[in-house]
Amino acid sequence: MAHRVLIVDDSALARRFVRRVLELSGFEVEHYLEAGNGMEAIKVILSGRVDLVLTDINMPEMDGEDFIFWLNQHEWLRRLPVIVVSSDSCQIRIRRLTEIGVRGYVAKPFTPEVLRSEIDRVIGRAA
Amino acid sequence: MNHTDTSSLIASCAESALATMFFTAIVGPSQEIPAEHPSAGPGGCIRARVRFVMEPGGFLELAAEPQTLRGIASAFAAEETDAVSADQVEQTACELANVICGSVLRSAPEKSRFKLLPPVLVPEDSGALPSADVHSARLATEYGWVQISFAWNA
Amino acid sequence: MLATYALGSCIAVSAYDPETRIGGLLHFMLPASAEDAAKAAANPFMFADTGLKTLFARIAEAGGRQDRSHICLAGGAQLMDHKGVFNIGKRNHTAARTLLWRTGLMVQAEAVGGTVSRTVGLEIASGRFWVREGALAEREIYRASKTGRVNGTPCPDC
Repeated sequence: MAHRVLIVDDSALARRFVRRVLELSGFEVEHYLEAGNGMEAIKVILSGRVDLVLTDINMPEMDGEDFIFWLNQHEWLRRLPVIVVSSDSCQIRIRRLTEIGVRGYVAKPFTPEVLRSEIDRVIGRAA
Repeated sequence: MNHTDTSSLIASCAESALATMFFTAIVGPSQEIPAEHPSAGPGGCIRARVRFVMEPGGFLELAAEPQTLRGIASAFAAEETDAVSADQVEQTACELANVICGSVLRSAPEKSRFKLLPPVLVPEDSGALPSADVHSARLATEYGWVQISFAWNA
Repeated sequence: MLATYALGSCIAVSAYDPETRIGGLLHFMLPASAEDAAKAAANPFMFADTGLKTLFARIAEAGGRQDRSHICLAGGAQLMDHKGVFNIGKRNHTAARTLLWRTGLMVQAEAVGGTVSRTVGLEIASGRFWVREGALAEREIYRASKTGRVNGTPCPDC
């Protein structure tokens, strides 16, 4: 299955880095979508199919944690795989997010290979 | 945590961030330096600051010359140096400060519940760092020096 | 089989195209040819940048493809004899990773760092990459296969 992937981070450069890792990792990606904060991410989610979310936490306007809570409030979105990619790795926060369904967590700094492995673990290799 | 431990921790976290995610090598030993306004060449200096909320909170600030950050940005973005925009140079300062701050807080023995706020650029002439207890380290990267300052709120 | 020995602070880069079974093994000492252009001209394999460029050129000449290459790294140890260059093991590792990132190639496996010397080998028939660290037995750290995409290239058998 070719995925539609949403990358959420207030840094355009960080989004570009994540996108490049995906491109080089060999995952089947049909379309890349981007958002600079939680509010923009919600607009993207409501406007079309998304199969995987990679999101930062500390962003202006609406942070990643609030965005993930919003996803969890909607039954039809609870199965959407979410991987947090963030410099913020407070253990209490990680535990809370995992309890509401976040499937992966990659702490910055990370090598491209670490992110690839985590995405592989969460969604598996596409055929 | 004593002064030397903090400066060593900052240097170690910064070196790890630069090497793993920003593809930038350290070419000389890091220096623990007095807490002072970063000195820069004629091209000036870019400063990015990350505040964090914790008991107590504090901040981390990164300073470097623009051409140093341009080199780091080119490696991070896998672009030629002259293709990197001024905006990307500033974003690199912010993202690098953000990543190092998270790494330091994760490693510090006093860690507990914390939250990072989005990084901001600080005007170069904004003066001394707003804390009396600042720990700083200066790293020699392959593109030039990078100075990291870290402080807990009083 | 290709093998290289006594990797201390040096880095070995293995590149293998499983489709054509063309592969190569580079052993370089220093990060950048700009440090000594004359030496780089005489021996490009001494430096990461000229070494990798030559490695991929040779693979292409033999019929392999860079973008289909499975890449492994080994070496980059911090040894007492560091040839007077600060942090040379880590710098060599960073240089290799940076060049591969810029080129659009992901690392599939690596055995780097520490303080032990390493010997590595690439078996051309099977795509198996193995490492021997210090006095320990040889161990396989990667085996390239045709099924599975690397570096964003289409997978012929998927």
